[in-house]
Amino acid sequence: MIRFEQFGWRFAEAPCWALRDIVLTIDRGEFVVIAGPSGSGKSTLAMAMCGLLLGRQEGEGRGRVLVDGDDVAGIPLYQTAEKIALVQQNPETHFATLTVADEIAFGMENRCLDRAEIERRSAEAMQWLGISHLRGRALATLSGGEKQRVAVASILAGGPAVVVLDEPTASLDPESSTALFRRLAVLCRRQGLTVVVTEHKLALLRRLGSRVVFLDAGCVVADERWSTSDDDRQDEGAWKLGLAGRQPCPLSDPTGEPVARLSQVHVTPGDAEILTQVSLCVQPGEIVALTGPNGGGKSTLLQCMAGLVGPSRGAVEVCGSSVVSPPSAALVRRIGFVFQNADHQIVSDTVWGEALFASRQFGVADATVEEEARRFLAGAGLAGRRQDHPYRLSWGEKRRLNVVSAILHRPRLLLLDEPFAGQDWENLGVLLGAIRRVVEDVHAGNEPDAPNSLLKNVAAAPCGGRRALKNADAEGQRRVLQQPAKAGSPGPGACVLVTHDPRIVTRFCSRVVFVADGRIIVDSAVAEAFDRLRSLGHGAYVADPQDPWSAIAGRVDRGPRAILGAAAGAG
Amino acid sequence: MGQRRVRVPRQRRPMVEMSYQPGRSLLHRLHPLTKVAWLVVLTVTVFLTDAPVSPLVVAAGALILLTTCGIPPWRAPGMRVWLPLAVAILVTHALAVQTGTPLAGPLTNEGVASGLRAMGRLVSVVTMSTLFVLTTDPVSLTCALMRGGLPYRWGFALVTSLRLAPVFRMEAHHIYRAQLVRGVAYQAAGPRRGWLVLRHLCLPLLVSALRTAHALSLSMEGRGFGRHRRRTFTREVAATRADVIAALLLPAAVAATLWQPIARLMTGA
Repeated sequence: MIRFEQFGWRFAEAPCWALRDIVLTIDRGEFVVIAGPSGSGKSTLAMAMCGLLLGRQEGEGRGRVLVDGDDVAGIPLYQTAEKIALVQQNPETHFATLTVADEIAFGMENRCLDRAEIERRSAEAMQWLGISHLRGRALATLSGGEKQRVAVASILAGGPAVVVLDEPTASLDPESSTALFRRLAVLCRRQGLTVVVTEHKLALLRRLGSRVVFLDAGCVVADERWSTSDDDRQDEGAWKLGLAGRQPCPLSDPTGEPVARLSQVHVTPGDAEILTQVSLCVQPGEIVALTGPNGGGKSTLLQCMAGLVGPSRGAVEVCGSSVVSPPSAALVRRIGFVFQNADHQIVSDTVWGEALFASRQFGVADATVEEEARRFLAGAGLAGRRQDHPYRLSWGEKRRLNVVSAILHRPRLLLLDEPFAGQDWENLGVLLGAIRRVVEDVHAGNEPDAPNSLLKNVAAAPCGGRRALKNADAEGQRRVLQQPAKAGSPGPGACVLVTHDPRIVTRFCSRVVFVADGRIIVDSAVAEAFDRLRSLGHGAYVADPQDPWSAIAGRVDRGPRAILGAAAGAG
Repeated sequence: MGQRRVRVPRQRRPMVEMSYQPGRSLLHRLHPLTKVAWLVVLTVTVFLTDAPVSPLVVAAGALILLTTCGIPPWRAPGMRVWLPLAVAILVTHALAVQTGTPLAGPLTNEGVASGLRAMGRLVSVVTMSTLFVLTTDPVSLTCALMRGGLPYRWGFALVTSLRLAPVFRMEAHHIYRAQLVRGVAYQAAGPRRGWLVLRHLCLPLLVSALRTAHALSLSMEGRGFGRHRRRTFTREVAATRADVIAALLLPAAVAATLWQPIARLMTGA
């Protein structure tokens, strides 16, 4: 159905090839998962097979991509799209109309199908995706998961043989993600639809996909049938990356002054209440996981703590001071915020300028901070991209840049809204290590200009943050954390982060706050919170011990040769 | 121990947003083109008449219709701005025009009539436009226009604008907040504020808009948009008996509004 023949692609002005010598065949009716580290070329591969590169994007290509025997470079996009259609990561940029029914009919109306046929196919597509009840709804009123399903239905109604989904669940909660993948798997089995998904959440796809193609640095480094034996090797890769086995963050200091406190907070912009009677206390040194379904109020809660959203009732305090909206200069200096959309924060012309942007605004961008920025960018795999425009980075790389920019001025309260979307385990390790160190370092009372470098262990190692994380001395860390804060120091820090990944919660956070319908449903230590979530029927938010991703990641850590060897051995 | 009662402060109900408000009122059910005809014809008519009362009657009718649609005039979008402005226009005209018969103090009959006419025109046009926007589904309107001969590429330019306007507004909010929390001092005074807004809000918003437009164009082209000169429509926008009655009533409404110039024409005065 789809064949890549020695295909390569380099974007204009890019120093290296995004895809190299890709040789890949995807047969009709397969459910193929394209996996790989952030920036490995997954989205470019998806665009290439949909005919969105050759002749349409500035760049240089070689080799061919054939769909049903036709070279996609030589046929118009609409003709390719009748056979193979792309569902983009963000459904907001997919919709051309205002209602569900109009959106699903849109493609068929353009192809001049008659009304009865459009009605029939629309009903069928909505039934497949389980969204018949949404037919009359305005798109603006749908949740993230519903929007993504409508986007898929609008593609399926056109009757393509192949559907390509580019990280469709990047911003979805686990329940919505699982529901979407299950629907696609059923379509694949029953209707013979070919499904290609670029995705990091392999745990969700384990029992649904038939084949996984692994990319690294633009090359196919593994292409194998899904094997359940991978499950037995859980955590192997994560161990290698210095994540598994870490104790939940032991930093909480219940006797100290809370870093952030919300008391009976209501947020009511207009008629709808987004947060209802929310009370939350974030203790020094804590790393709190904020989780829950899309649209539950997590982002609003974070923005409320930063003074970006004013409560209609109740009080918010950060570092002992009342938070008002808009926030004061003193408050924003104490806060490091990463927004959900990576692009919203980017204003500089270079990666280097963007990393130092907040520090320069706060007047703390001295030589020490610059050195830290240099080291951290190296750890995050961005050392060679310092003079590139941030918009040239992949989504995952932008997220890492967002985090660097948010932590360099040593905030006391880190507020991170889904900072790990689009990150593979390897880069996740770098981010988690850096975030943890910010909390620890501030906890130990290090001021921004102190000689004790924020990221000294993360990036000083020859291999950047990854090796440093592996070698991290847990006992040493704990000693640092138990040191009292210096007199006149900024005081202990904390982090509240939104994540849908229970594996991160288990290995990294000290506490779980589950928010749904604007209320805090669960607020307790990780193990207890998981028990409660299970009993409440939210099992999707609880860590799954069988996770094949780490096994694959482990092989990546040993390099492409090891993967190819493993694949050959399996064959 | 009895629970302490928490006194909840009474909140002021917010203004209705200036966008389509779904509903089942008579006005909602009218064909969009019928409403376009009424809006255009009555707007022209209130500027043609020189009777001071006629525009006020049209404005009063529009306000009553607004109420029947479930939107009290004081919650109508922009009304808290328009009504004081209209009163200011009335007062200014009444005091500035000194011709005609004196009534009381500086007021003359021609000054008051001129003020009422200007106020009536402003209020009637604003109220009718508001009524039209609040009760007309923009997609149905575009669909009706496209069925009526408007090229569908132009029609969808309007639909996608309507679709993206709230998206960009939300983006602007997010970008503003994202930069605010990174230390951008938007509250700075003078030209510095303008520069900060341009550099840290407008430029990222422009880049975001271009990227969104590019992604949307790929999505639309991928679904066959622009492939054929014509396309089919599944959305039904049918005229009903109410539309026929409304169309018949329009000339009567015009005649009633223009009764004074018509009477003058008839009598040759």
